[in-house]
Amino acid sequence: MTADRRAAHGLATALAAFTLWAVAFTALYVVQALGCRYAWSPLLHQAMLFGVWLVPSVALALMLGFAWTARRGRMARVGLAATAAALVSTLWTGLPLLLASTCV
Amino acid sequence: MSGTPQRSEPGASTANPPPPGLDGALEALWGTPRGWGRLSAVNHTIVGRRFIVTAFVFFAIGGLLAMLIRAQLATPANAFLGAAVYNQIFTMHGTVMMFLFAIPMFEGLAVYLLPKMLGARDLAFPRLSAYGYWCYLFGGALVVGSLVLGVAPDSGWFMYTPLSSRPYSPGIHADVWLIGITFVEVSAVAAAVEIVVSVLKVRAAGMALNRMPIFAWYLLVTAGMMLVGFPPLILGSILLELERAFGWPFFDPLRGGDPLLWQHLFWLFGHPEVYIIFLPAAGVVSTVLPVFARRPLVGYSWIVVSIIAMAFLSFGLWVHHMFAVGIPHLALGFFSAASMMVAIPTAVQIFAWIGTLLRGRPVFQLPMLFICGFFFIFVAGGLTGVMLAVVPFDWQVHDTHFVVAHLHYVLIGGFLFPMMAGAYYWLPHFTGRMPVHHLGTASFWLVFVGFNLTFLPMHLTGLLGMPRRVYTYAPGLGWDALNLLSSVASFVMAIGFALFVVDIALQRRFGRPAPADPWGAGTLEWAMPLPPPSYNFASQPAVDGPLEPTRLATAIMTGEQHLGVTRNGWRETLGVDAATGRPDQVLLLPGPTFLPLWMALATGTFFVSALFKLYLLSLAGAAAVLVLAILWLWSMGERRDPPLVPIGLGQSALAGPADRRSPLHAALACTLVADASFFASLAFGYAFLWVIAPNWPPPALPAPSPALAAMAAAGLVATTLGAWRAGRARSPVAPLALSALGAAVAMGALAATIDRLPSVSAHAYGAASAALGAYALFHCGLALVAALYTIARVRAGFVSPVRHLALCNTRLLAGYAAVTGLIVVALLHAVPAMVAP
Repeated sequence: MTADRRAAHGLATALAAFTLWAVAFTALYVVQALGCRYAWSPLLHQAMLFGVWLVPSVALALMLGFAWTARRGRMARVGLAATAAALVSTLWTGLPLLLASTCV
Repeated sequence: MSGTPQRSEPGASTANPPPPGLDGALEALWGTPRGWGRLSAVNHTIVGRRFIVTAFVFFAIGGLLAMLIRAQLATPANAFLGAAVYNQIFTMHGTVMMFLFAIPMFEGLAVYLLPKMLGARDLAFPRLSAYGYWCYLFGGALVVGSLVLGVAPDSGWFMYTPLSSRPYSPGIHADVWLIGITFVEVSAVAAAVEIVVSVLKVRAAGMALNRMPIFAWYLLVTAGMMLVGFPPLILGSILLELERAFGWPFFDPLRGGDPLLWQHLFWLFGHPEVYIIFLPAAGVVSTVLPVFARRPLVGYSWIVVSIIAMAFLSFGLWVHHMFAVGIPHLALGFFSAASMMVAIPTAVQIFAWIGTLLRGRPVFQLPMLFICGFFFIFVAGGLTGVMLAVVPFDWQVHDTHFVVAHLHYVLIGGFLFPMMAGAYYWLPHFTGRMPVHHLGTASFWLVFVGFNLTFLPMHLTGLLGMPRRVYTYAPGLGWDALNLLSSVASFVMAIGFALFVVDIALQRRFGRPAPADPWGAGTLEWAMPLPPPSYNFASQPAVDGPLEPTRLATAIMTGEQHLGVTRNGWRETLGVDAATGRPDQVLLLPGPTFLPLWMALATGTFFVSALFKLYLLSLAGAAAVLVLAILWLWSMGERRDPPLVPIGLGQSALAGPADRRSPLHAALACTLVADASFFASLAFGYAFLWVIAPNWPPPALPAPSPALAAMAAAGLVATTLGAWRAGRARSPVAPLALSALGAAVAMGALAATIDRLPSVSAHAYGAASAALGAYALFHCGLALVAALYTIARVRAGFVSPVRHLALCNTRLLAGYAAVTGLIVVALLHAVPAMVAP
């Protein structure tokens, strides 16, 4: 990959990583609301919530691995750092799952 | 001393004289006519200045309203203003400051500075900037004019329903806000498209993404946020106006609506709005601070990451304005966590600024004084923001003056102080004269002290339980002295702002002429004469290393860089590859024209007529906008293939290529991003009503109609397939005709679907479904017009295998119409069958 393409790739990586965070965040809110509205069983509701929290987290961890292997150049490092930030953000914003009940 | 600014010549002591006639020839090409011709100006320097001056006038109006508020609240049981007038004044204060001052001020700064910082001669779409300005001016005048007539909005700048609904807000007060602000938002979205495309496509040769001035990064990200953040508010305003004007019950819980839907839509815009306001100001700090620290910005890459992170995270905070509405604890937890998270990228920037100061040799000049004020006030506001992100604390101070204090610390600290620093920093650029420091220093201290004495006590009155938005209060509650202090101090702050205005006027009249690059900056706007010529650069710089304005200025002025020529009467500027900054085209920009003014007047006809319920006239305005838009687009492009022209420094590029590289293609993509945000908000509203709103499912649902669904789907598929095929066929006319036919069929099927819906005023189901259907119908109509327009372009000789931009854009638009249309068809036909009992 040329330095030029790496620059574009780094920006795309940063945007993709935080888009994934946005998808995960929205999905958490939507699944929480749907489960409460339609009275899903607590087990199913919890499982779905953990699913939409952890699947994007794993995807971001994989993205982080790829970004680490292609970290040459300033914009590539921007992509790497943004992916790490998006992963931490996803883990952090889902943490209330461990603390609060779903529908109270 | 003459009042006329004298233009300094950068690098004059070492420069060779410019090529004979180059300056004159460029000025003749890029200049703006005098007299009435000024109204046809599209030059970014002029349009940017107009934005800034107009925004400052609105700031003065908003400031006067603030003084009236403080005069009313100075003493308990004050009879200075009645409740009705007070409601209009506090609503208009917030509205003017947020919509008519902060955002347009940033837009003006961007329009003025971006091309100069990026080494370009203008923005990608000069006419779009001019159109945006006129929409802003007319929309702002409409909103502020209502104050004079006594019919100003009075439901708060957030216009919560049901207070803003027809039963509780009769008359046109709320309509003025909904329609006037939507008019102004047109300007904001136009500016956002302009900024994104210009940053990505219109830069100096060699200015790769990672070499851009940090300010361009801030503006790029901010404009991207505007594309996504403003459409939810536009949608909310349209839905509320539909409810008020026609009784569509989106927010009426008795008929299946939900007032919380308004809050969601408003804060989906409203919270990112805070960062949309803060980020450009932070960009000013990141630009100005290193200049006075005498070293490059520490952590450029980290700042870029933190800007991107803030942009995304800020969209995950909207519910933190709704902590008190009864949302389950788990959901509150998600939004509370996100609210705390966003403090981290903010802190990264603050530490980068502190690091820059520590590693540099700071010179303490006037702009730095305002930046120090920014540090103090913004950090304090940020800390109270973290306090408010904690749900139990938020419940305690919700709707109290603590929140008023917090938001003013964030917005005045985060926006106004950096902007005043920026004003003193760039004034030599605007006026060609240097600041007079003593008055500016006095202005700073008056504003700084006045501000803190106004708003610091509000934390206490808030903690003592004083609610927001009340026009008076009883004595003896412990609020009296603190309110009096706030009011007196607010007048001190106002005197400080008045002194700032006096200082600017004195500087313009008496300031000593600014030398070239007066601050020793490292950005290209200083590599030009001051004040700048209409064309910015006699030749556009090639960026191959650190930006050194003084070194580059000589080569630029002598025409030795790119495009140091005039030819064919073209207004030329370089277009580049977005990532690398490699020149890939010469953009041919339009000259002065009244078209933006006419189009803004037509747009204004649409909005103002809707305000007064003159819907036929309103439709005529919309039709005029469509006709003018077609004329606008028709005037672009050539009937011959683009020639390869020399661009200087031994390189060549195509002049005005009409293919995917064109900024027009990027502009359409950006517009569709905003459109997609609008659509996502509409779909969210539809789902929200189904899932959350009371009185659902609706009493009546339409009978399933697989035939209509299939017909609409087939039409939509034909629309996109025809447009896609047109790009590959030898003759694109037949596939385009198929696309147009498909769009017409889909429109017919969608209209029939809407016709079968239950009454739109009986239940929110009918209203929300009709809104979705109308959205798809409108976009099929656009796809139809685009296909017919492109057929006309083909027949007129504007399209060839090389010049296929019209085909690319039609394909993109048809594809978007098809995808969103198919989702609408699924929502209208499948969801009721699946969800209803």
